[in-house]
Amino acid sequence: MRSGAERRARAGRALVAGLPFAWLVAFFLAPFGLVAKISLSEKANARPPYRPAFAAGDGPGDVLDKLSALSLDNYRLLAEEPLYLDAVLTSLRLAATATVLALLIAYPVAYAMARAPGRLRPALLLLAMLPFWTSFLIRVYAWIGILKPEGLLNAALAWLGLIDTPLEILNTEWAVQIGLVYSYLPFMLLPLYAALERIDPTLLEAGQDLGAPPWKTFWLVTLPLSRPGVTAGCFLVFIPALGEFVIPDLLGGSETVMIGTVLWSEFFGNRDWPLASAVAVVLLVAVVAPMVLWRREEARRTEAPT
Amino acid sequence: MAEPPGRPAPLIRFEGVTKSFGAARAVAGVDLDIAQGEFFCLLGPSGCGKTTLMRTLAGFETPDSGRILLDGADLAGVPAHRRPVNMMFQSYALFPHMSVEANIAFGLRQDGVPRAEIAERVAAIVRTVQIQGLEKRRPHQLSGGQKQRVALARALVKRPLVLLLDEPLAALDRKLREDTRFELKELQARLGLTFLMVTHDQDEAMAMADRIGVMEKGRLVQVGAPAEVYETPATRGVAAFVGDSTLIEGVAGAFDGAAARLRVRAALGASSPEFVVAAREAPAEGSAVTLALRPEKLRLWTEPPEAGTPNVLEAEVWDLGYLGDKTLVRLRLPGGGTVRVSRLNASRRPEAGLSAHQRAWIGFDPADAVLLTR
Amino acid sequence: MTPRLTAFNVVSLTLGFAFLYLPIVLLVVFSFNESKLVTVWGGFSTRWYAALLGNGPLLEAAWVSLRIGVLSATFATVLGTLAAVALVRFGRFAGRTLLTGMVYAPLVMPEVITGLSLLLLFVALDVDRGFWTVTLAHVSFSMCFVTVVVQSRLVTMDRSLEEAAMDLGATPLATFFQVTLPLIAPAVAAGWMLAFTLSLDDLVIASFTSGPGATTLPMRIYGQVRLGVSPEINAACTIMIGVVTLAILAFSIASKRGLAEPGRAEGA
Repeated sequence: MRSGAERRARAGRALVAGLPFAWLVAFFLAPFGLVAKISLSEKANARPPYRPAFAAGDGPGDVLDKLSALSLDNYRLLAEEPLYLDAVLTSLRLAATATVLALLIAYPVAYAMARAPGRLRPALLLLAMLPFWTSFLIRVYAWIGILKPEGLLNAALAWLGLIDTPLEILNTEWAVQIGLVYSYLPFMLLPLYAALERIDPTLLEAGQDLGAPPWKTFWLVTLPLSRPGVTAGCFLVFIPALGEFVIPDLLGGSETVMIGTVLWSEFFGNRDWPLASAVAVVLLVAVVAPMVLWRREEARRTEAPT
Repeated sequence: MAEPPGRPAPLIRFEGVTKSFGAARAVAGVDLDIAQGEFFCLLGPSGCGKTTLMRTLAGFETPDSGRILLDGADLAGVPAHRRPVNMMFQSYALFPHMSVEANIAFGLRQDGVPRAEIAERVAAIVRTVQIQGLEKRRPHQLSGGQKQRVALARALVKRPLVLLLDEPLAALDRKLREDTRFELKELQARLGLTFLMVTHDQDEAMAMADRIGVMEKGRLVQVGAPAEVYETPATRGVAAFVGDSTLIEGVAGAFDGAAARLRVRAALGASSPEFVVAAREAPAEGSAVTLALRPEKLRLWTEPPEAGTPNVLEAEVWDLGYLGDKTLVRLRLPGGGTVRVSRLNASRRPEAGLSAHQRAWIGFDPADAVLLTR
Repeated sequence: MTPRLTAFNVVSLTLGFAFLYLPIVLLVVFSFNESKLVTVWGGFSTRWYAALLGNGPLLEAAWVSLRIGVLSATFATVLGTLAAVALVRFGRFAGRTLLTGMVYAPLVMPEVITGLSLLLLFVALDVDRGFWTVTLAHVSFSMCFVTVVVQSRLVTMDRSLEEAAMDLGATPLATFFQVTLPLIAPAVAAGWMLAFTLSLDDLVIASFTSGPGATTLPMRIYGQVRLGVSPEINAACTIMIGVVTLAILAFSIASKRGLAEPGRAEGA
């Protein structure tokens, strides 16, 4: 027999967990179902611009008819048209390169931050976090002024006498690559710092005490212990970079097409919602795989005794 | 269990209380009665289930089976905030964002006690635990001892039927801990409250409790007054955990009913001496028994004792541990095995006549060995 | 051995932070440029800031973004905190794994997917798109960030404080408002700020879910940026950067003081 108080407590807990749960199911999970469904539909000059559109008043017969009208045509098109495959490959390549470059740049910085004297560290952490809070759009925009032919970079290089004619960087893949590394650097820096800062300095002392020179101590102690930060950082850069739209759109040229830009132009330019949805499904598949890997890695790490 | 006539109904009754966490059984079928006004202590090594048992009474854990009665009423389904028991947490759990005063008043505010009465009761309990002048401070401005008193005041001000104390002295340093023991004991007697304390420190349990319940792997293995638990431990585990014991395995031999004496063939490495120990009834001849020997009850001679002294063994002094008030002597038996003997340093010539590696003889009175069959 | 920075460490820090900050600094500097040419310094001027005041559509967009930001951050903070409490305090419950997944996925989910899927939802539900649909979309993705921030604070909070409150007679609700919330308040505030800046910053999701009459600041800036760099946009960006920087500095100073003297929430 349960008392009233216990029933109330149970109801309260159900409410606390249920409210965000219901919200996320309705506005995060369920819409994916719609995307999947519309990716099987056909473009139409109607409102909404796809066919078939299920309506509340449909009888069972209507639903069956409309279901049979669903097709994999959009996916067939994605597979056959080289433009789309290129976009996928470009995205993978750019995201992977950005991840590696961000790791190479962020690691020494995070390492130096973690080794900095205690009173300096909060200030350094604040400096590392500020760009994270600053508008993404603004930070990408800032690079246009630097990279364009008559921009600051070319002006500086010409002033130094290194170049005669301005380099074409803006509207090339180089610009997109720079933009990706720059924009996602804080996502690499923060988890790396968190992991490196946690390492007990006596471990490094023990390593040296046992006869390992500093570089070997780094290789045998610091690097393995910072692995959780490295994996977290890599996933936090790679996954969102894969679906990036703003950076290739603003910094890239017409030949640098990523999945995000394809989706955007199919949707806003061609008003082909079904094809845009199919692109979204492809992108989703591409990001879900690394996400699942990451969660598994995290679960393995948190369960293993430390 | 039948109610002994003339004894009042218990204030707290645990009936077959069992609690598991996943596959791990934390509490396994505990039956226990605690009387009003008693200072009861649950004693056991960490992980024995004592804290879990206490938390079932506080309402933080729900037993898988069994009942808990408080003042005759079943507590099943009563949430923690409705139970008339209060707890002093091991970490003290003082609210860091509230002053000492607000911490103490917290419970009364929850009950909707009028402001004037809250002020009065807080002032009174502040005097009782002697923390006048600290009312406006925040917990982080207090010393460990002061925090402990605030936690005590906060729990006591609600006048609970039972005060639960989870390792109340563990966070204090040694000197303060010993002073506080007596203060807590005195306070309990003065207020006439029922205290249920959990500790892994046997000295603490002995010094404070009216009765001790020793727990081992989720089971309550012995309940009794401190002297009873110490002098007649019920199991090998209790003998080993409460106080110091040398345990000697053996096999029960002939029983002399008239003298209440049992012969025990001990297994000490290669040798197998025969001892005579006091026993009220005989275990089956040939069954395995254990002798528990307290270090302070063993005798030690540097010359062979006179013939006819019972239970004498020749041994070699292995090392001497000088502890100030006493010296702990470890001896090796010829067949292997170690025995600990403690000698009181009643004069200022500690163990003048004893040195490592010398020959010595130890022995014990038949009544001083504890015969364990469990 | 106390940690000491080697020359290599100092160089790494200098180059790393120069890379992070140089573009922003240049942008700010050139917002005060008299010349319309972005690369030529024509003297100090605040004329572009004055021009901003006359840019009606931009100001209107800023006002829309501000309202959406405050509203969505507030809702997101409530929902995100509830989710954090459920994940940290409720142990195992049905749907826990799914909730965890739904909280973590949006953190890295490409915005084009989130934006498109929400748009399709609003179309299917036949909702007029505009201010409210953007707000709703922002709540959905920023609440997950709030959850992560609050969660990390909750797991480090001593559980026995809440037990003590209940032991002293506080109902679960009273415990939450009198003990838990004051103690996690810094994280809740940080979560709100994060949700607010995410909303203020979002271009992609807003572009999908917005409708006529609800153009947000990033949408407006994006529209102008596509036409080329202009000092006026530099000025607008500088103001946004300044506001965020001040807010972060104020917050970090306040929370540091809060650490030294925990929980100022309790009234006198």
